[in-house]
Amino acid sequence: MSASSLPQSSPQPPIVSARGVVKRYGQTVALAGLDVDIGPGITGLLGSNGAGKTTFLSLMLGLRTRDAGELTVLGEDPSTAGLRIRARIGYAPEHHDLPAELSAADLVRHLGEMHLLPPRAAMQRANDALWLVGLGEERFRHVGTMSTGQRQRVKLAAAISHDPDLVLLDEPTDGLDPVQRTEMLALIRRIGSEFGMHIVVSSHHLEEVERICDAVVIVEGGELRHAGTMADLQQGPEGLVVEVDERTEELAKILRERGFEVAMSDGVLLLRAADGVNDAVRDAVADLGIGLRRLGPRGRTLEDLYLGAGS
Amino acid sequence: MSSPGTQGTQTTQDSRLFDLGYRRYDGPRTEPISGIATLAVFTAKRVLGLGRGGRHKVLPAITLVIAYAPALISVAVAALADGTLEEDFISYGDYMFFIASALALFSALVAPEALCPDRRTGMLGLYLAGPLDRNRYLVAKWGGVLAVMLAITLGPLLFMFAAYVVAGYGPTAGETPGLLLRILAAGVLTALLYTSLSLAVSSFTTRRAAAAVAIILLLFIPPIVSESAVESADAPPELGLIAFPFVAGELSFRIFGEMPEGDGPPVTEVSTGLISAAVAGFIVGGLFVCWIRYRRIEGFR
Amino acid sequence: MSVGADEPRVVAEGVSKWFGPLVAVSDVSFDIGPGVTALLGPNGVGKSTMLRMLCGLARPSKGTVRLLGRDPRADAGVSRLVGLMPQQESVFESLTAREFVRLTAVLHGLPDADAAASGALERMGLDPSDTRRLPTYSKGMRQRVKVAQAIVHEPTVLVLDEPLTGLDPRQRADMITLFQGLGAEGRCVIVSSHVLGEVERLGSRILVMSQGRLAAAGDFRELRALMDDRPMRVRVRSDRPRQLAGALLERGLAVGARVDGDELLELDTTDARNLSRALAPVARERDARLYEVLALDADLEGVFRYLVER
Repeated sequence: MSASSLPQSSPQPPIVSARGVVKRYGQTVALAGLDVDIGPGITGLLGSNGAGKTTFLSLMLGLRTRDAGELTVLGEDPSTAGLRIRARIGYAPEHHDLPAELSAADLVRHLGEMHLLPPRAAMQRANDALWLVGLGEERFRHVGTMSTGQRQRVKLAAAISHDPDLVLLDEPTDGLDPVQRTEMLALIRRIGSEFGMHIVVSSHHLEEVERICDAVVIVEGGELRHAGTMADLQQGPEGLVVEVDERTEELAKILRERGFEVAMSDGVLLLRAADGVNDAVRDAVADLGIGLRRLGPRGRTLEDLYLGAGS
Repeated sequence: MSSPGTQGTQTTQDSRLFDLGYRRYDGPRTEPISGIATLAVFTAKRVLGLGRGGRHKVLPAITLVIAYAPALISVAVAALADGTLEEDFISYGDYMFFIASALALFSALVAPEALCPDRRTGMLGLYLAGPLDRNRYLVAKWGGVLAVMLAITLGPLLFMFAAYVVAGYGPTAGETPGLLLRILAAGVLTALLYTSLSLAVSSFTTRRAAAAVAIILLLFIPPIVSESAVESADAPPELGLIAFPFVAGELSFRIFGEMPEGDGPPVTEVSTGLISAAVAGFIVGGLFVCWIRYRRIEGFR
Repeated sequence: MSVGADEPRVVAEGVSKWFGPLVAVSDVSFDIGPGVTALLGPNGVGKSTMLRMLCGLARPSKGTVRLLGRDPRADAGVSRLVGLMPQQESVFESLTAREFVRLTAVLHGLPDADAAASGALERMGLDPSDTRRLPTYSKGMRQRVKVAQAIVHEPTVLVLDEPLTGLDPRQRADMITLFQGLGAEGRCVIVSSHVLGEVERLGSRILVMSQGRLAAAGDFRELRALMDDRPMRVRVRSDRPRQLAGALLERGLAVGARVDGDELLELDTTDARNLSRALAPVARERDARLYEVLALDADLEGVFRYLVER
C-alpha cells in the first residue's frame, strides 16, 4: 500500500507521520509496513480488533519499539525521544481501572504534576478540567465510587489538564448510555475544535467518527486501508437516496420509465446522479400522492468505506 | 455603565464577558527528571496513609511508635538519671535490634502499598504513558519507600544522639564525626535492606496481602531454620546469612563495634567481610529483581 | 422452534425491586414475544436489575415475572430454557473457550456437552480446538465466548446485556445478524444496548426504562408518532426555502420554520404524515427544487432522548 497523505488544510506538518512501520510480536505481525500521516484536528482511528490500532498507539507513545520504518510524533522519534513526547501527550486508555481511593481531583492533579506541571498549576488546571468535563461537583469524590460514565470523564480530564499538544483517546464512549455518549462526543468535539488540541480517537463506532472527526484513518491487517478527510468522503454524491411512505415499487417504475437508473435496497431507492433527477423524483412523488420521508445525496458513508476496506 | 463625568456617552468599556472555557498553559514546566521526585513524594505520602482515610494511618503510626518509643524512653531516663546509669542506656547497636520489629511490620504490611496497587489499578499504565519510564518509576518508588524507612531507622538514632548530647552523655568532639558516620551508615544500610526486601517481593504480586505473607515468611522462616540447623545439625554459622533479620542486626552491631547480648544468633561468628557481602547482595539482588520484573510487565493496555 | 399458539413469551407484571431505600425498578409491566426486543435506558436506570429478574437471578420485591408461563425463581426447569449473557466480565478462570462453554452445557444437563460446546463456538466463529486460555483472548473474542455459552443449550429465551461492547464494526454486524437469526427462529431475544445505531438494525421493538420505570414500549417509529406534544423537526434543502416555508405554514402543515442561509430550512410540524405528503406537490407548485429532506429526530436516538428527558 503506497503512502497516502491526508490533504492538509493548513501548511502545518503532520502531527504523526509513519513510513513503513513494522512491529512483530514473536511470529505475529501486528503492523506490516504502515504508511500514514495524521494531520491537525480530530482524527478517527478505525480498525478491527487486532488490526494494529493499539500497537500503533503504543508505538506513538514510545512504549514499544518498532522493528522497522520511520515514525515521527510531534516532530520527534518516539524510540529516542519517548519521554519528551509523552510529556506532550494526553492519553485516556480504554480500560476503566483507576485507583479507587483517590479523589478525582487528586488523581487529575497528580497526573498533571507527573506531566511536569508545577504543583499549583496542576491543582488549578485539575479543577478547571474537571469542571469542563462536567464533574465539577463530584470532583472530590473517590474514583472508586464513580460510575463508568464519570470515570470516562475523569480519564478525559486527566488527559487534557496538562495542556498537551496531542490527545489520544481509546474508546472514550465505551459504557456510556446514548445521552452520555452524545455529551462526551460534543465535549471531544469542543476540545478539538475550540481549544485547538489535536486529537486521535480510536473507536469502533463509525457513526461517532462520522459525527466528530475531521479525518479518518483505517488500519486493517497491520496496514493502512484508508486515510482521508471526512469532507473528501462526503464529496461527489454518487446519486440520490429516496425513501417514501408507500408504493415504493411504483415510484421506481415511473422513474425508470423516465430514463433514470434506479436501484432498491432495504425499501429505499438509490438513483444514479443525473440531470434533473431531483425534480423528476419530486414530480413523481407528487403525482403519486405519497409521503416523502427522506431525500438526500448519497455520498459514500464511512460504513461503506470501512466494510469495503476489509475485503 | 458609564463612569462619572461621562454622562451621555455610551461606553462598553466597563463591562466584559469572561470566557470560562479552556485556558491554555504557557507557564513554566518542570524538568522531566522531576517526575521522579514528584512520584517519590507521592509514594511516601500514600505509604504513610496521608491523604487517605484514617484507618490507613494506623499501621504506619504504630510502626513509628514502636520505632521511636525506646528512644523517647531512653532519653527520658537519661534526663532523669543524672549520670549514674550510663551503662544501662540502650546502645545504638541494640537499638537497631529493637526496631527490627518496626521494620518487619512496615516492610510487610505497609510498604507493598508502593508497588502492588499501581499494577492492579492500571495506574502504572497511566504513569508510563507520561514522561516516565520503568526505571525512573522504580527509582521513584524505591526513593519514596526508602525515605520513610529512613525515618524509622535513622530518625530514632539521631534523636537519641541529640538527646544524649543535650543531656551531657554525648561523645567527645573528636568522636562525634565517627559516631555520626556510623549512625548514618547503619541507618541507611538497614533502610536499604528492608526496602529491597519489601519491594522485591511486592514486584511479584498485585495483592498486598500476598506480599505481606511472603515477606513475613521470608523474615521469620530463614532465621528459625538457620538457627536450628547451626545449633543441632552443626551447620556452619555462615548459614545464618540467609536470615535477613540476623544480617541486618549484625550489620549494625559490627558498625558500632558492639556485640549482641547473650549468645546471639550464629552470625556473630561470621566474618565482617561476609556480612558486608551479604548486605550488598541483598540490596543489589532486590534492585535486580525489581528491574527484571518490571521489564517484563505489560504496562500498556 | 415453531411459532404457534404456544409461542414463547416473557411477561412482567407490576414488577418492582428495591434495595433498602433504593428503588431500582418501579412497577414495570411488559409482554415480550418471539423476535428481538431491545431494552434501553440511561445508565443506572435498573436495566441490569430487570434483566436479572427476568432470568430468575433476583427476586422481585413486588410483582411477578413469568417466562413461558413459569416463574424462573420457583421453577428450576425454566433455567434450562434461558440463556443469559451478563454484562460484567466474569472472572475467567484459566479455562480454554471450549472448557468454559462446556461447563455451562454440563450445568444445563446437556447429554453431549462437548458437541454442544463445539457447535456453539463454531456458530460464533471461534475455533473449538483453540488451546489458549481465556484471559489471553481479546475483548471481542471474549464477548463471543460469552454469547456461545449463552446459546449452547439452545435456549428459548435469550437475555443479552450489552453484547456488542468491545467489538469492531464487522464483528458487531456479524453479531447482529446472529441475533436477528435467533429471533427469526422464534426465540425471545432480549438485548440491552447503548449503541442505538445497532439497536435500530436489530429491529424496531423497544422497551425504554427511565428512572426505574417503563417509559415506553413498542415500535419506535410508532412511538415517535405518538409523541404529538413534540413537534417533529424536518430539515429541507431547497433552492427556494422561504417560498416553501411560507406555503407550508400557510396550509398549517408546519407550526414553525427556520431558514438558515440560502438553502437550508428547518420545519417544526405536529402533523408529520401530511407534511411528508405535501412537500413534493407544494415544492412543484412553487417551482422549488428539493435537494434534501430529512426528519431530524425521528430516529431511535431522537425518540430515546425525548423519552428520558421527560
